[in-house]
Amino acid sequence: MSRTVLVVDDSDIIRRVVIRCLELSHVAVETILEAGNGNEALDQLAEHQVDLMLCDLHMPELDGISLLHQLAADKRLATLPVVVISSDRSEERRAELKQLGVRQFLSKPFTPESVGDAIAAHLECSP
Amino acid sequence: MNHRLAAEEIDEAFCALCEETAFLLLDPSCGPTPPPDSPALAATVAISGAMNGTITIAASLELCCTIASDMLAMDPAEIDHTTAAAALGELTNIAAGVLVGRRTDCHGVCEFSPPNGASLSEAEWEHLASNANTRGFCADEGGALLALSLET
Repeated sequence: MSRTVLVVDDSDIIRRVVIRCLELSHVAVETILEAGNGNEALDQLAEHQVDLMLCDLHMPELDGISLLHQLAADKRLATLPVVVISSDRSEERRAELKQLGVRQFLSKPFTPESVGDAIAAHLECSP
Repeated sequence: MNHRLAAEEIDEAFCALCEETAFLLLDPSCGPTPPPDSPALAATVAISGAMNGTITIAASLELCCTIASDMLAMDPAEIDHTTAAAALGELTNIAAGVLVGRRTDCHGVCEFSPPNGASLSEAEWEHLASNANTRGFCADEGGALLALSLET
């Protein structure tokens, strides 16, 4: 089955590292899309059928939290599995993300294994 | 109760982070860290919210290239100045999260600014190295400095 993952992070370095983790993982991902902020992510989501989104929180223009609020308010995107990858590891932030429907939180630094496991867990659950 | 991170705790956290992120082995007990022979880069992340402060990490360009090449699994010779500076910025961002997470008196959400990068002159390196909040580290590719200022 064709799977599409969207990687959203304002850092080109982190996007490249995450994509490398995806390529090294045991999960079959056919298409990897990229976005540098929340607005670019919304553009990608409007154009493509995405199966899972990996998302940073701190980004310019439209940050991760604002993006998640917009997804939650959109019937088509409200059930999109989202994994957040961030340096912000506070319990309060995790609780906020859980309320917004985020499936999993990965704190930086992450490993290829942790990214691969998260993708596998949530791609397999997606419709 | 003093919640500040002890120097040894900062050293241990930063060395572990560099090893995990970039397979980089740093020595925190190498004494004074002189300015590198190659140009030096610095990245600063401002922290606000439940805690306020800044973290600055400086390193030789050669060391930044090594960090970038290990992060991206590329040959160091293929790493340009922009990518090296971006890798140092990301390392600083991640270090901010790790060190804030170690403060037991941090209750609430912190915001991290995008990394602000700059080149450091020899005098600026020495000024940063002389700061009481700065820790020095050594690696084969040159020295690194970490300056942390964090208050509730």
